[in-house]
Amino acid sequence: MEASEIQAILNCQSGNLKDFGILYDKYIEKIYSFVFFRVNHKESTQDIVSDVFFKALNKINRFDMNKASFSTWLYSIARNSVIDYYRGKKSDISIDDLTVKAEDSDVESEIDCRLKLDEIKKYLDEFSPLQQEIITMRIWDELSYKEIKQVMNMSEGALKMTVARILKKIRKDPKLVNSLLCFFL
Amino acid sequence: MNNNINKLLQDIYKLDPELKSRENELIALIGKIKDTKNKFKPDTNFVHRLRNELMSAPERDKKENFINNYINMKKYIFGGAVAFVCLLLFAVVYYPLVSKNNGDQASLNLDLGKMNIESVDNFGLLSLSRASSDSNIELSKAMGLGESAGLGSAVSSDGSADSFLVMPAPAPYSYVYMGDDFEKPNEKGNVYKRVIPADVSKQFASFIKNINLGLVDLKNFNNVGLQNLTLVEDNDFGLIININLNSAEVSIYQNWDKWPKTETNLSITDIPKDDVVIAIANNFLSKYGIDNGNYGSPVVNNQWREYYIMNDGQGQSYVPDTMQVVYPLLVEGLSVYDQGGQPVGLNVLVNVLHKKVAGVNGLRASNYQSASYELISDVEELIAEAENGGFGNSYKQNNDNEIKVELGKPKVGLVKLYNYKNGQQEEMLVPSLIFDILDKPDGYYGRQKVIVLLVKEMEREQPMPMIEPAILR
Repeated sequence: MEASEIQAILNCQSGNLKDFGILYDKYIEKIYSFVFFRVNHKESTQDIVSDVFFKALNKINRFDMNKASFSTWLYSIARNSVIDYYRGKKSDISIDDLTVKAEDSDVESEIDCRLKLDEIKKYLDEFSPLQQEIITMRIWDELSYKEIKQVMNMSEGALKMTVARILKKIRKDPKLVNSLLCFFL
Repeated sequence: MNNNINKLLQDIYKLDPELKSRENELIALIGKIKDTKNKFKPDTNFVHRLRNELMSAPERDKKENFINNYINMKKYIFGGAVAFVCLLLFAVVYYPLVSKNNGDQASLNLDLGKMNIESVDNFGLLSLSRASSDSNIELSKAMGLGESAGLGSAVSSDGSADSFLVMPAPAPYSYVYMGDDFEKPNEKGNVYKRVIPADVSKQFASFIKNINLGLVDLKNFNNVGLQNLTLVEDNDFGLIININLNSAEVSIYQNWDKWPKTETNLSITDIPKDDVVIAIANNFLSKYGIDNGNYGSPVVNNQWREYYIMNDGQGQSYVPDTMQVVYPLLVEGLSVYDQGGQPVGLNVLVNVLHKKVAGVNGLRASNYQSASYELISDVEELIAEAENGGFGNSYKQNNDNEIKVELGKPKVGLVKLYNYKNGQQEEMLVPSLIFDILDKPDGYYGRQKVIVLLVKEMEREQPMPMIEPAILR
């Protein structure tokens, strides 16, 4: 972390929250593009990004620089916010998806970007979900190898725990095995 | 091939070697992503609007702000300082700047390194709970992620790590005590409450006011205190020393600009033995005059190894480049633990790649009030509570397929918890029994220790029912 970033964090933790603006300016575009790639919907992206930065602002007192860089911490909040978004996503389409707001600055550009991302995702679909995540984080998000390991390590650990529990459940419940076989076959 | 693309590919292969066989697809994909990324920009109206909203957000809830809480607490005058750090500070920073009278040198000796305990009548009915940041550490360790595995705690979408990427299902474990008989605890024991010497910040401020910045006359400001002081070492492997005078705490971090930015994929054989890591930590403390007299024998936090073993050979094992050495805090002969049963105290982070200390935290003034409370002395009652999961036990479902986990003979210690009172959180040390888990079953992901609080009269945190995630229903 740069010394200016560390100082901004320390100042925020001392109660001088105006320095959060320094952190915001540094990361807003990165976090915005991180979320947009995964959500591919402008309004939802804005909601999630707002959520990420408000959470970071509210919880910055608990951030410990000895355990991770601020970047890693912020990306993890963003990653989990996206996952929460998909968990809570409703299948019906919101009227906001259909209307063009007056303040939209560049509708054509946004649509063009969404179409391009849809195309990219078709190529990405040829890879496993984990591989997609690795490729996206390295190429689109431009995270370093170490940052990717750190951001994913926690998530992978939790995911592997879930898989282990699923397998245990399958072994104990023969009916579940049959159901899964019917699904895949 | 373009060097940049080659570097990107090499990084991707390090993360997943299987992708090597799909290099042509990756190269095409990289081109498409880069092309789209170059044209992508966030909505500037949104960016400005959000910034304004964040900057005008209401002041944070002071219940969340430990620093502000301590300012409002009763003031107790203690003499002392983090002697060496303060002397170093004044020798390096203040001495050349502070004006001298008749050749006398300005100095401030606060002697905060000494532990002070003052007896008081009582703290009232205790309303104890975990602080979510500490509970995250416990949960993170319970999940085998360890503190040195990257983030050190599972960070959730709200940044506080109260929940995980995937919410854990109710623990399928039941506990059975298999240890030897143990003596019943005393009928009474001390509970400790941490207090902060409030005038330390003002004593520092009185020095600062003598500095002539040439911009403003600091002497004209009244009743000021210095909250934070940061020193930055400007040399290779330099460190940043932050002195928080509100919480009377010193933290040391890497000055990242001065450390090599090498990314190395460590293997487990690269990690030195514990005694080597501890020696590096001990040498650092000795060199910088950090008194570890209030702490017990150091131990290396090796919890990351459990996670490594679980994932070994699957290409996802992570070997951290920083090891944590913990010097457990001792208060009147008892070790202090967190809610997960892990030792709490002075932490020294050792970068094993460069064999240097990369950080220190938990170095703080140890001033406490103590009050006597009645303790649970019925051994059968204590064992029953342990077998029920102890403090903060998970919501249990009726499950005939629970896996039995054996508990060993407990040790007595102090567990760090928070007493919520009058809108503030007070840091407390509560006498407790800490039970070890014996012979963890394969794939065990439950708690690492079971804690049973010994204090009789208190409101206890209610365990939250866990909602089974949809994926497991």
